[in-house]
Amino acid sequence: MLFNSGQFILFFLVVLLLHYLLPTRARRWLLLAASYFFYMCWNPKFIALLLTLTLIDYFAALWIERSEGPKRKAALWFSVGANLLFLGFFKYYNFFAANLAQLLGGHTSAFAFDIILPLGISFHTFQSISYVVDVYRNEQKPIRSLADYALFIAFFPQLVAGPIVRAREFFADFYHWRPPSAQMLQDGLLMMLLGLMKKMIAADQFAQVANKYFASVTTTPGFYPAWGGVIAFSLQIFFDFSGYTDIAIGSAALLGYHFPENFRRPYLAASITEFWRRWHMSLSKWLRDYLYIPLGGNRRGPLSTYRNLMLTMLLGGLWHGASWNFIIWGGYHGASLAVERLAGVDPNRPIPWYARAPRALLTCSLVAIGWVFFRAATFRDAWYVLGQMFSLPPQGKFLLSTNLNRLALLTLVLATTEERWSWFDRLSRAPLWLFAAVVAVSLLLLELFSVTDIAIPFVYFQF
Amino acid sequence: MSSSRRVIFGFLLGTFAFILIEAFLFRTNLYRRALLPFSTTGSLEMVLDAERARPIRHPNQILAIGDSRMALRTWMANQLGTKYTFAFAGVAGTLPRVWRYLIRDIDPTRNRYAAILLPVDDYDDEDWEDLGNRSTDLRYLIYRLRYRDLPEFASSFTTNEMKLTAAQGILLRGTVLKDDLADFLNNRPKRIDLVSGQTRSWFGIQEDYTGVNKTMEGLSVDWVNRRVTYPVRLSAAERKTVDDILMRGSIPQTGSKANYMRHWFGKIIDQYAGSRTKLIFYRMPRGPLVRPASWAKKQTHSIRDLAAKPNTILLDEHLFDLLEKPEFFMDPLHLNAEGCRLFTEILTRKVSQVLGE
Repeated sequence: MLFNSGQFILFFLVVLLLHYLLPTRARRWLLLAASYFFYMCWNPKFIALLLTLTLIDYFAALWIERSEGPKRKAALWFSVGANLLFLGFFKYYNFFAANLAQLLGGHTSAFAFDIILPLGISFHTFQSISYVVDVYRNEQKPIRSLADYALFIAFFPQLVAGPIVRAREFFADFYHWRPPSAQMLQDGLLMMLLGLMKKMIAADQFAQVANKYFASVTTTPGFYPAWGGVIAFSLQIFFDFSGYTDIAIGSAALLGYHFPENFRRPYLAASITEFWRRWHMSLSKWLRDYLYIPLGGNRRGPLSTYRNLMLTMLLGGLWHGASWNFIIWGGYHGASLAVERLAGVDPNRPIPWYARAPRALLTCSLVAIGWVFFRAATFRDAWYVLGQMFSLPPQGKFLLSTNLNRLALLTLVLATTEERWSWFDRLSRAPLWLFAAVVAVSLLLLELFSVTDIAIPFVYFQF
Repeated sequence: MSSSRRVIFGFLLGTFAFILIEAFLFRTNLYRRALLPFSTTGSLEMVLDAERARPIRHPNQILAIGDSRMALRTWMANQLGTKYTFAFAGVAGTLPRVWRYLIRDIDPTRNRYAAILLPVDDYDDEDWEDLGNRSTDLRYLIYRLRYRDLPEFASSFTTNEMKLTAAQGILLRGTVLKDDLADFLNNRPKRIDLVSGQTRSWFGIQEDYTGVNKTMEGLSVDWVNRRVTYPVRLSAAERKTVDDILMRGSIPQTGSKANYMRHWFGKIIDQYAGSRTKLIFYRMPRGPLVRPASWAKKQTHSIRDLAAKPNTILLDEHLFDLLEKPEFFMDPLHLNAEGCRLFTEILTRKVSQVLGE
């Protein structure tokens, strides 16, 4: 059930209606049932996996609370190990098996299994790990009610592709639930509309160009096609993922829950360090809190900091998918962060306006180069595309049509003005007539310009 | 009103405003006048407008409906000296479901025609494609469908996905017209030229068009060994089309075609119940060669059954047998210029005779 399908809109309307009609105590059961139904619409068999991990982490947290010393640590490692075991098997087994088989001189599929990657496993395992680690660190009290904990893990707006919500954030809303304020409602509705427009009008248009290019990179050689394909993918993945997140945040807001911000105009970042403070922010914070800082962060000297940055980003890359390309992508970003630290780039230091634009352009280009490894089907393809991106003299045809160029320019203007004047925030406090006008125009744009003849799944569903 | 209720009211107000704007754009003539003339929607609207605008000077009007195979050349028919005036409102690729709504809107008073000619492949039914689920029907008819048509039209599709798409299209025409709109926005000057010239070019085709002079001579089939000999001039794609039509296998006969025919022709017949208009069915020339009768088990006879209804006439099913030869066809489906001429002459004379000279 995709967020941009009529099926989801209908499902969400029913859940929303029942949520406000039912007495408060029944709402958790409604949301839990709805979340499991939502998950089972994809593949009913994998509900067993979700339930198993829910039970393990629920009891592990209680065990941690009641234990001391080594037993406490054992409970933590049991829970974290179980999550990583499931994640490792479903997501990485075939990757490691293929590499092992190759090392031993056999066929890559010699030890392979026919494994289906359970939907959202990367997200809900990270959410579970953060919960048990927080309990271990005494930053979170264990949840007594199994149903409440199960809802935290399975809550449908964020189950499939985040944002990765911390237990304290979720339960602050859950245990002190109040009907959403008028501004939260207005914000939620606008976020949902914005998310749908990002996905259906922008992402899916750019996806068609990127998919065609990356399906067979050698058929359209040259500088311009390579940059066209890469820019198309850069825009697709941003609009796709941030669109998904906007719908998740908006639908949660309508139910009375606050989700953390996940994207803040990342392509306007003036450095790679700033980029990671604006892109998939809930993952960046998770990696910082549960990986980078426990590794030592920047507390043990420069060399240790660079190593920690590399390790964090390598694992961050591997989290996205089981392939060498993702590891290289993570390593590329880790190295970029290390170089920036070495060069003394401080993302907190204000940048004069005349320096910001060229630095943003440079950052954007570096990020786009990184996306080549993220998107290309094989390392060979990625290497070929990179070669074309730097081939001179520039040849071939730029793949983005005039309309897509206009769309890209329009979104750049919107993002830049939002950065300066926060018009979206102002919109959520707009008078009634303006709000109604925005709704009307958004619905008309969705009706007339969304891609509906082909179904393009959300990019992050594969993770 | 509480603040939260104000937001909900604002959202509903925005939704209502969207519906009004959508209706202003697509439920008036505003965008209809700018439709791509020879697109699915545009061609049907063009045919409808041309026929509605045609002056009616006497009551003996005969309307011919059909798809691209409908070979009646009305200008030839009208020169044959019968007391009837023949008009054509055929649209390539259309079938009875489309004709039902087209006829309804061409002749809302049910008094315009002495007869309407309705072509069929056969008087007996053979299932070989899912006629009920053709998504193009929604595109052809989008300007003809009203809110009240939603239950009948949407439920007539066979898959839930198409039922939903059809319902959505009837409620929000923009969802169907958005490809046409995108083309318009991308090619505005070209579209304006096309739209301003469409009426002239449409009548240009009607008034002196005879047809194509190619033939299928050289086509033969060894039905026993299922071996086709193609005319030398045919390309590989054209040969494949010949195979798909002549050599196609049979599928399990579920009676779906019979149900489709009964339903949609039944609707047309019901529309004219109690009127002066006769509905004349005839079997079109089936092709340059005719598949052996034993290749299909035709268990239902929907058109023969419909003949029992008032105002309904079935012409002799062998009326066009003499045209079912390679020399009268330009491809496996369509008559050539000579075939069209003979077809027009035979049909015109037969219809005049049946209705009374």
